[in-house]
Amino acid sequence: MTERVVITGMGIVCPLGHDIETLWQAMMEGKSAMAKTTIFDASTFPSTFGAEVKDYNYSKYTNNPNLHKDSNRGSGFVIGATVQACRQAGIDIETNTPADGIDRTRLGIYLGAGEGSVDNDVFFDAIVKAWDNETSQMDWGKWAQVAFGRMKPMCELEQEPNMPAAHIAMLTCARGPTRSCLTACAASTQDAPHGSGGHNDCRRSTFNDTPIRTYGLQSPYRPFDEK
Amino acid sequence: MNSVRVVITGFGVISPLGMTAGEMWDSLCEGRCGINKITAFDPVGFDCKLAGEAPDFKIQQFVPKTVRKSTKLMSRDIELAVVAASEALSCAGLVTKAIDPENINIEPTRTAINLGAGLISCDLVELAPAVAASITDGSFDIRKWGKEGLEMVTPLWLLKYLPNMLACHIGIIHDIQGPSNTITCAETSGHLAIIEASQIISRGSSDIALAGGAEAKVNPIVMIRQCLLKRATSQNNDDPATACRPFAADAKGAVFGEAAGTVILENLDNARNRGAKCYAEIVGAGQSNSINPAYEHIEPDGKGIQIAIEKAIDEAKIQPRDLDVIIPHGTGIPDDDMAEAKAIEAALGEAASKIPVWPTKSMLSNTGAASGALDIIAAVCAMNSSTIPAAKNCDRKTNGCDLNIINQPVKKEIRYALCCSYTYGGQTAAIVLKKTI
Repeated sequence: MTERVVITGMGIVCPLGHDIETLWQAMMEGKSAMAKTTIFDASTFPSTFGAEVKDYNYSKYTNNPNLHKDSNRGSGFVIGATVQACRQAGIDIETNTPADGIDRTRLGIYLGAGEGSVDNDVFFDAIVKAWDNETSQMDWGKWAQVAFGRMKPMCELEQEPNMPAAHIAMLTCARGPTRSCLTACAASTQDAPHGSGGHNDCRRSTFNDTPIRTYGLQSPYRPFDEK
Repeated sequence: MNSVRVVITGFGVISPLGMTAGEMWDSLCEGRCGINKITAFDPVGFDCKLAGEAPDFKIQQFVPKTVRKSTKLMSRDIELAVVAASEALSCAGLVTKAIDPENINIEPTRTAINLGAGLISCDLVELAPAVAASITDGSFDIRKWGKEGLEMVTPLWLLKYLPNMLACHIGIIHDIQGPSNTITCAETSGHLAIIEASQIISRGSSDIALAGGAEAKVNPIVMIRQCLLKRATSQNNDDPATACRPFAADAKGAVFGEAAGTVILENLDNARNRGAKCYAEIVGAGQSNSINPAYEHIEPDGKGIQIAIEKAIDEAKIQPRDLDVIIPHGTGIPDDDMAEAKAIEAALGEAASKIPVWPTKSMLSNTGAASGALDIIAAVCAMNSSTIPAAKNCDRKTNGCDLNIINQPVKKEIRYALCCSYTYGGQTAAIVLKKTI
């Protein structure tokens, strides 16, 4: 890379805290965020625990909570992290007339994001009502009846991986290059090489994911441990 | 763009218009429409009963024996991408491990892959027996799901439906070891992946990149989302070829489909050194955001698209009047089409009403993450045959639209082509191609 890229702001919402300082303190104290899963009843799952973000409400980070009212869990996290990072970097948010001196067409967004959470109640209910296990056939009419009757349009839209980037754009009025990538655990480092090249002066990059879902939980992590 | 020049040396397509890029192009020239009644599932209860379905094929024919077992974990999206990648590599004269391991002519670590992918929805029929095993008193019982239902789901089930598995499988099949990424910006993904791949080559991290996008939108969950968001047309179910009407006064919405389009991007010097045919050069790219509280649509003045187009033209160092054809996103969703028209007019000024505009989704349907790549390939074909096929289903433009939507084929030299796109969620992109001489 011929241009040098520096980090001027950071923000985090994670199981160990909703800001950098809290996270760092928890890590220095050797705290673990692993606990029994509470987002849904995982009592019979092969893995019954995970690391959840607790007691978080995105609305404390924005003057316009209504603007983001349809945000799914992951988008909510990204709102908090974005606001923290922008405050630290001196990027004005939630204004059409920013005074931070940043050309918005040169303020980009590069986000690693997973899929938004499925509306499990409706998803599973539609299958339950429509599947005939004896004939192994789906009654598509019944499926559509439940799905159309109960699926919420914006809840479905918020499952798209590019939605968190939309929320960041609304917060920052960023009009620069914007991409959202999905490469699972590698996503948050995908953006590192793409920031330079003269297309951005400033880029907001982050990663968000909420992989604790009713499809199943991953095995517990013990990085580099022989067990 | 940096001093490294990036050219297109190959391309591959599978689409509602056929198994290859050639079939797509011939169909576009002949005015054939790939939109028909949905056959992939029974659309009972859906107002829109149409889709652009790609042909059936046997994926095993596109995967060497050594990794054929991997096809068991391929969703339709992945399969489409593998097929298109196969044609693109062959078109470019590139030999990979999968094609002929004794005569490989790429350097794997200097070959990148960057694909756009959609949110892949699971096969409901596949999951249904596990759900059926998790019922108590007629309702889904999550405890039973955890105990019994999950046991019936294959452990590797998730791998079929992760968007990054398209690039993963192609990378494994063809031994691509360079930079790899998956862009998930819905209908702008294809363009953004191509832009990112060209930048990877420009900065010297790769010499060759396979880039583009793939998405299979013809499944109940994806289609229901489009219907719930009021993006899908409910008109002309009995006359599918007339259903998708970009920029038309009587347009009522989009028709969705499935496809994959991939291009081979290459450092121009690399291409020349190996005697590759250069079909077009990427000379300008622009990206931006549409910022709209109702983010399922783009902002009414199309500002985000305008900025992307202006940036692409500026980077290409051309004037708007230098463009010979524009392939817009043109979905057939009235408000969005109007916003895009305003954006093009604002960005190009007086030239906007003169340059031929050729929306393709009336024939290809809206193939999501694949659509941008299909448009780039259509532009390349138009350039190399000096022909712009007729746009379809726009006999009367929507009021206020001053774009030159061509209803007859146009024969002309095409030096510069502009392709642009946008998506729900706001991301926008524009690419300027230059004919290589």
